[in-house]
Amino acid sequence: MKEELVEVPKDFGDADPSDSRVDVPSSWKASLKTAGTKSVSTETKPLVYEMAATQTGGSNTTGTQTDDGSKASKAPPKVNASGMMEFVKKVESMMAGELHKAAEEHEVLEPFTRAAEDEQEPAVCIHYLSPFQQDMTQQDLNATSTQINKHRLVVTCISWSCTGQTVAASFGRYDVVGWCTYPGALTTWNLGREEVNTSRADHRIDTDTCLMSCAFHPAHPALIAGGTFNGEVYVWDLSQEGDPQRGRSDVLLDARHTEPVIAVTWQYNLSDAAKYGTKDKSYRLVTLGADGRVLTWMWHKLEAPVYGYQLLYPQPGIDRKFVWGGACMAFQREPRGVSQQSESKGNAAVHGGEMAGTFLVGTEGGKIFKCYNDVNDASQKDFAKQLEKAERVEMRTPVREANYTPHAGAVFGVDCSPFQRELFLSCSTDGSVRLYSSLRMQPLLHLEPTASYLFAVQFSPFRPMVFAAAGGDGFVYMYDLMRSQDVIRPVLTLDTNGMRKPVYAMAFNPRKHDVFATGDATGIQVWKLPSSLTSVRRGEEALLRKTAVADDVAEMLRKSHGK
Amino acid sequence: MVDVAAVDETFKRLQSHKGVLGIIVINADGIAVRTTFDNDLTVQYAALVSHFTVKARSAVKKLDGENDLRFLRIRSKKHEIMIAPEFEKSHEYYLVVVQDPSQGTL
Repeated sequence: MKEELVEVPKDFGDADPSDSRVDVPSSWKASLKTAGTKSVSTETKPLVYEMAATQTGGSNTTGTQTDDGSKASKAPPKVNASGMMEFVKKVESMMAGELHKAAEEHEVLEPFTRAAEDEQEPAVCIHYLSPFQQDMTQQDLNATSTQINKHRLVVTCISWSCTGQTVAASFGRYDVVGWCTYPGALTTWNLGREEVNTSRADHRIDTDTCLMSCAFHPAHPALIAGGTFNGEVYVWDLSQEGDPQRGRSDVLLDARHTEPVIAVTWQYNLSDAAKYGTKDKSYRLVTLGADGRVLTWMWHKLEAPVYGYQLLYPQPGIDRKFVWGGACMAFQREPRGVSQQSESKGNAAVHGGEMAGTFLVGTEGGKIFKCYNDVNDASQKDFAKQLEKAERVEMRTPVREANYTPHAGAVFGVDCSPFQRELFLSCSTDGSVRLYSSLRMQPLLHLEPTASYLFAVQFSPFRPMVFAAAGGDGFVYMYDLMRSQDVIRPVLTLDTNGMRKPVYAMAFNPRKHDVFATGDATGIQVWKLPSSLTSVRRGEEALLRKTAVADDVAEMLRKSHGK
Repeated sequence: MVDVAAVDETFKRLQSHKGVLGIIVINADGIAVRTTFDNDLTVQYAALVSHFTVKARSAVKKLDGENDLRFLRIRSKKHEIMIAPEFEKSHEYYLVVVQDPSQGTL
């Protein structure tokens, strides 16, 4: 270290060591000498441009095409068609002859082809409606007794509205003895809607006691009448907001039903039509009670009946007349042609069918009465006067004929043919269905589809020879007399509930040919009937007319079948 | 050339019969020459009927060489198919008429 310090002054040898100072002139801001200047330049080679072009060969267009097959095949006939004229001329007469023959043969063979069609398509259940089933679409937490059928109510009656859209069912019980403490209900479903809630009725009207019958107005689609177990008659207007009730019979009046109202029907009345001029007021209500009374009401003045009858008739062997309990009722209808069906039913001429005063009553005793409703203005006034004075009203008997061969059990169903005035059907708890002509005492046909009770019978409104009977075994038996074989058997049997629970009510839809409703202990089934039971067959009406006058209908049907 | 009007008239006459649904004339190749049906139905009828007719004819001929088929009628559940064949070489055609005899009688 020391050595280096000593060596330092050696570099500054020219310095005067005496004062140890070295002066180094500053070069700051002094011009620096550069080496001599020289101009230098660089140069690039000049750019050379060249033009060049390339080219490919020209393109070619080619096309291929196949022959149009269809066009090609059309061409030859034009060529081959020579001689067609001669051919057509030659065979025309032969063809015409055969066409004639075919038409003739068809007429003759028609019954056989019918026999060949024996295999019956089944009916399909399109809706099962019940207000008492679990509502699947809406989870109703406060489900009350109305949701659960705790009173074990059954369908007592079914009715279609005049438009054929809405089906109504009355709920009640048949096994009530004495006082009825069960509430009844009227429920309606509009099946024309896109979605039908099968567990929730569009309208549900609860009644104090069992509702035993209901009937839609024949011209007003929302008016419906019902009869209860204790004899009250109601009229409801379903189109009304709030309380739909339009009328209710007086429960204390002398002229009332004292027992369940078994049947309710609407009857066209000419004088009312003239008086009120409106379609809905042209109809009167006729009700049949189990007490044997037939009462006529004006639905808009429901407090008191317009007139009343009592089913008085002597029991054989006793000359004193006594009252027979009614079990079913049906009015005779003016026959209408099949062709008329499609026409509008709005006019009075067609409604004339319901004007006829003759009606049939099936009784609990098995007898069938033909009755006549001859009420006129004078008798109405008398009746009203008696009511006013609060006298005991003497009711006449409407019975005109009672000697029809009686059933062995209560007659729960009777229906008149819509096509042939004098024909009517009856069914009974003896398990038989009978076809009667009201002009003859012996039944034309006696059929026994089942050993159990039969609760209802009805003619098809569209097929003159078709009818249905509802059985206590859960089956509905459909008959088609056009297709009867040696033995007349049901052509179709509907199993309504699969549980052998009785079917109490049924109704053909008045507008839709293939819709049919049945009501049993569980709810309503709506069926779509096969076309074989809905489309009218040729000669059907003629055959029905023949049926009405034939001595031996079974034989006549067999012959017509095999002709 | 074919006298179109005369053929048309024949067609009309046949069509006027009760329940006639349609008429077809088929040539020897199984091709419809004239028809009143729509295209699809025509093609079907032409193909099926010509086959059937040839079969039927061969059956008749095999049973008796001198015999020949004159007319065919097929009755089905819905229709009656009538075939009038002509087997002469110069003009071999089948006239087919489809009829529903129950129509128009109800």
